[in-house]
Amino acid sequence: MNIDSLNTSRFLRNDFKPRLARCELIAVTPTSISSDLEFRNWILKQPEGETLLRCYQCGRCTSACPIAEIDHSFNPRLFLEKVILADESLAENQLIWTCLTCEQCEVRCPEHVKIPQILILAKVRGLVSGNTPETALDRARSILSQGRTIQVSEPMLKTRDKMGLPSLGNPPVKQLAKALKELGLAEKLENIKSIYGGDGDE
Amino acid sequence: MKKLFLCTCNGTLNKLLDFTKIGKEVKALYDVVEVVDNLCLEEGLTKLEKGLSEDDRLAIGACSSQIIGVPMKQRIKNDLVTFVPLREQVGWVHVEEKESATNKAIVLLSDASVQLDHMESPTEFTESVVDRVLVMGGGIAGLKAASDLHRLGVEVTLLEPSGQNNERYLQTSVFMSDTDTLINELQAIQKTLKKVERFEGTFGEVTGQTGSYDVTLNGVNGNEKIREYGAIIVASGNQQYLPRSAKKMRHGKSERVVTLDSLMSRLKKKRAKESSTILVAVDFDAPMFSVEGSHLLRSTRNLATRGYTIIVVHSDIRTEDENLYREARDSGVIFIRGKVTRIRENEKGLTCRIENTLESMEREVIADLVAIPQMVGPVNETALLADKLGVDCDNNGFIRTRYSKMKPVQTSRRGIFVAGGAKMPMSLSDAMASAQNAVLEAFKVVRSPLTRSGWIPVIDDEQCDVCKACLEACPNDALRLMDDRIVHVPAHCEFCGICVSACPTRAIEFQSHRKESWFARFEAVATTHRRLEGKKPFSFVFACSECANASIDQAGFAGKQYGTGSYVIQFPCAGMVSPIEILKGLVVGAEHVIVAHCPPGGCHHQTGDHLSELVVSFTRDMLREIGQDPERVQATYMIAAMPEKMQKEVPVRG
Amino acid sequence: MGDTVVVVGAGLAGIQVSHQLADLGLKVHLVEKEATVGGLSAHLGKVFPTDDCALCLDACEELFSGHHRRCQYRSLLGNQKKLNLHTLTEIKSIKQDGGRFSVSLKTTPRYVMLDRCVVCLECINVCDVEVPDEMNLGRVMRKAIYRSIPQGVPLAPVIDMNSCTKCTKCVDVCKVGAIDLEQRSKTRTIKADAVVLATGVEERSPSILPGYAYGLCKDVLTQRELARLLDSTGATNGKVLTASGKQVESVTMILCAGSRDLNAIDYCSQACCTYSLKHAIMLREQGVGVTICYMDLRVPLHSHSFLERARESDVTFVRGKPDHVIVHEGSPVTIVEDTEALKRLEIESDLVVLASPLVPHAAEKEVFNSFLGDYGFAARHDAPKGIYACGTATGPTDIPASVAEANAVALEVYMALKGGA
Ligand code: SF4
Ligand code: SF4
Ligand code: SF4
Ligand code: SF4
Ligand code: SF4
Ligand code: SF4
Ligand code: SF4
Repeated sequence: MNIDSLNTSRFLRNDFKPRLARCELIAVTPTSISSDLEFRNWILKQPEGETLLRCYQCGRCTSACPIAEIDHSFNPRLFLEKVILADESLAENQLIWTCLTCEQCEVRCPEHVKIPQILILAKVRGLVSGNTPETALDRARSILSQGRTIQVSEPMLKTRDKMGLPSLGNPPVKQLAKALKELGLAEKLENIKSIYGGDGDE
Repeated sequence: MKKLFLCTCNGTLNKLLDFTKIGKEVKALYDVVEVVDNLCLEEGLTKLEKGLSEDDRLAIGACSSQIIGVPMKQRIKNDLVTFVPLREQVGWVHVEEKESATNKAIVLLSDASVQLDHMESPTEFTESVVDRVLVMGGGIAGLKAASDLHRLGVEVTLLEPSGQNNERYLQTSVFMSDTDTLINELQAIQKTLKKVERFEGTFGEVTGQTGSYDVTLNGVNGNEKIREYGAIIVASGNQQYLPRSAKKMRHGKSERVVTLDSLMSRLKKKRAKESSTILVAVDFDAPMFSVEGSHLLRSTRNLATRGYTIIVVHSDIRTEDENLYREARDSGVIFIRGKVTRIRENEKGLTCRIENTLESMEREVIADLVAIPQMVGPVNETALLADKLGVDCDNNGFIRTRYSKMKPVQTSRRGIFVAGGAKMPMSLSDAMASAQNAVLEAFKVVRSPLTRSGWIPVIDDEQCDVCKACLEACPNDALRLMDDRIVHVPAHCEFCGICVSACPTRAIEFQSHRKESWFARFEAVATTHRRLEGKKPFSFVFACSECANASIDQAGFAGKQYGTGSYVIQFPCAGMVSPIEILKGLVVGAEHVIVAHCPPGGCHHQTGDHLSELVVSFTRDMLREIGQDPERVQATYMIAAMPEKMQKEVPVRG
Repeated sequence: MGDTVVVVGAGLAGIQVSHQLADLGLKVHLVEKEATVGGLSAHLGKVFPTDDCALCLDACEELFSGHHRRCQYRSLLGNQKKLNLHTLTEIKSIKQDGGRFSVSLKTTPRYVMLDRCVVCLECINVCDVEVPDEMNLGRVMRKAIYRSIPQGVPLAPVIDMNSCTKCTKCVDVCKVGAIDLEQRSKTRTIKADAVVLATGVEERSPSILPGYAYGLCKDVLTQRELARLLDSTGATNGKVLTASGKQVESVTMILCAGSRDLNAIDYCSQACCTYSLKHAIMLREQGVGVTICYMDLRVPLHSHSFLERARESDVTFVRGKPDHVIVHEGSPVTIVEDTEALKRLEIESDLVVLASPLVPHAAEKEVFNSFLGDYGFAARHDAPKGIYACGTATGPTDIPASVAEANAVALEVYMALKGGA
């Protein structure tokens, strides 16, 4: 049955303003959505990754995000849309490294999507292929060599002592190195170079 | 005798108005003028009762007739009563102008006196009704209606289209609920219908009136019978339609493009073999009903949980159950807000191009199948059916109800009700409720004889040209052509008087509201006004007795002050006002005539708002032609929620 | 079976179901906790889909046979022989014994006797005590003896004992003796054969979803509060002014402000989209600029004309849920991403209006708890418990659906009590 046989107003909406008129198309050639949705499925399988499903693209995260306030191209909602559509180019986007993991977005998200977590997962995907800023790599290397992202100096330890904070102890550097080696990450870290170069991140 | 009772309303009205002056001025008009303290209280009513004999004509100068009218009429037997709202429409709204307000009261009381002279007793009538209901089924609501009527002990015939069976019912109701609930409900109702008379076929002519409609039933095997029914319930149900965009989506051209429902039944309970992608393309330009939205969400959730990759391209998602939307997303359905712009087919599948509004970019996806959610509309026969029954349809092709806010099943014709999807697509529980509504109304019609009382239109056969203008104008099918005469069917009449203004020869007059009475009343107002107020200009407000009059009462309650030179004349319906009354109003000297009606589309008698606007614009044209200022005549709507209307729309005078 | 029904809540659905039951010959006790009937709709002025009064009722058959609808003030609610209206009355307990119910009621004093008051309003005129009028956002004053809205039913005033000084001026002026300052609370128990919950919904305070500066900035209102400003019987004669009395030139509306949100109310409140649009149109008619921030516009088809009219009258639509409202130089600024333009916007306006969620009234009261299901809503008919419910007590919805449900429940109750079930 076709509606042409029915002369009804619901089906004849000349008065409807096309909402698409507001959307300025960025790319001329359309981008394909991969048929296996591999990137999306991988994220969904990771811890907290399945919270992605809940996102209904309300944009509250973007209006809550302090980075988005400064940098208008930083848009966590849009990042999630890309993940939803399995668009792995996101993992190669340096912008996601700007996230502070401040969780402003997450606490405001009406559907409890773990946005920073998902962005971390996207970063992890990028990490392996070198889509990582040099400073981040430096930090990773520092973990490998010292078990910490920052150097702990003598004065620091003294201050902690004065403040009555517990001792930091010695990080299990050896076990860490072993574990990372087994994963093949230690070697990768040594050889990898950031495609973004050493500065201009964060 | 003609008597006037004035109420002081706890000693306040006689402070706002000069009762002594009023008494003096109207003494000549009434045989008795009595002042009572609180007419609406027991002591007041007793006093009134004592002071009256049964054939007295009575004017009450007190609060609004809307407040005191019914309680008083429950107490006294007199039919010839008129109310002058001295409190809401005079005292309370002219607080600062005691003298003018008193004059206005006198003018209105003089008018009331003339009105009483012309008042006739209302006509009372009783008609017997047939205790049997016809349910025109087809939809699941029809089954429910027949079932409930049967349980109420009302005889019922369930008329169903040929070939109607449970499978068909299921198929046409698929969008209403999840399948299991639907099947259970259907089976449960069918069980109760064992003893109900079922008739397979269609119907022919429908004649008669509420309480006794004669319906010709045409059976599938050629049998025909005429049965009499007290009420009719239309529950013809729904049908699904392809949206306009279906063609563009290559529906009918590609085997891979199917409707969502046919896909659902084809895939039954099957799990996806390998990852197969189904793109669901919702028509972007047609707003969805929330039942359609819920159905879309249920279907896609179902497919996604079985392993299919589902991409829904949509605009606003509407549903009455937010959790359905959540579940659909949880099950992995991918929602893209946007529009499918192009579909190409090749050996790999369908390459669909999507404008994704939320990324501001185009996406392309290769889908194995494209599914198109259908839209829910009325069954194809609805228009024909409505025509045969003499009821109106809305512009979506559904059967229109009298008043969308509070008359859920009443069609434009008395005694005929609509249930379920014939009115609009409904969820299962709403459709059941709708059927119950129709049953309730039908039950109220058939359970006791119809008794009504009111002033009715009277047709003068001598003057009537049988032009049928009245017949077409009557919104209630209360005038019929019989043996070349116009006959009034009181059972349908709402006493609106719309027929009066429609008649070009004024062959119809409304009891108590005849032309002569209007003329005499306007003249009484004009002369009394001039006597008391001299050259001060005045205006008439011809207000319908429903919303417009309520708005004017509420101006009183809200204390919205306005000029004293505005005399409100109540008409049963603004649709009764004809150019004759308007022009007469101007002729007797009114500066302005304002016709106040119910809100657009909200006339209690269906068309009076619209008709009065037409009459006014026609009168304005006439004025323009004879070189008069058309601005002197205006139409406007007034409602209780806008008590400032009187203040704003009536030019301040006096 | 007996034929006494207690209906809890005299909002539109409660009144409708009571009218119908009384018309069908059952004895009805309609219990309302406020001084006047109407429920949420009493605040709304005009309502969709018909764009006419909120305080409109279907005409009962007994008094107005063959009539259409009536304003509340002329519906003579309570004049029906079989309908008893109890205002200012709360349900203390509902006990089931056998197939019947024992419903105990507590009526707090109105201090004005309904059967004596002739509504001359003289008492209000003479009262010297003035307090801010909560019905109108406290922006105007009312007396200690007052009527909260002009159309309110019953029409008789009520005394707010918290502010009354017992000066007895009103008592002296009321020559019919309608005022009794020493009136006491009354309790009574009604044996009923059926109970219908029509307890309705109320707008949830925006505090459940903080961030929108409600309470911080006086120019952040809820839709109900905006309705009070737009109502011509309200504080400002229908003109929309800021808290400081300035004419409002621009309004930003935030839809789903707490609905469809796991941090606040999970479900969609169904009616807010449409009444927001209705208000947007009314504002545009006054020349006020309106921006609506929404996620999905959920407008039932019978009210689609509101969406069309809003579009035609140049309401700006932004698809996005704002995160927060900041107060800049006293005015609210809405922070939202326009998701269709990928732009973060900071919308300055004179007023921000929140479509706050509609939550069930019944959920607040313990007596009803055992009859309620998800989110505090009741089922239309809970067979094991023998309780019926209709209107928004069963879930947020609009007036047409409430009325239809009330009628359906009336029939169900009738069939259960009078045979046919
Ligand atoms: S706030 Fe949550 S639901 Fe909204 S767009 Fe961001 S992630 Fe999605
Ligand atoms: S966690 Fe990252 S995306 Fe989220 S608000 Fe903070 S900076 Fe923005
Ligand atoms: S137009 Fe009105 S008054 Fe005239 S017959 Fe019809 S319903 Fe009756
Ligand atoms: S409109 Fe007047 S003249 Fe024409 S048919 Fe009716 S009564 Fe007769
Ligand atoms: S629409 Fe308003 S004025 Fe008209 S009957 Fe209803 S409440 Fe009264
Ligand atoms: S209480 Fe008395 S003074 Fe007040 S309005 Fe009623 S009758 Fe008048
Ligand atoms: S009706 Fe509209 S504004 Fe209200 S909760 Fe639902 S979507 Fe949000």
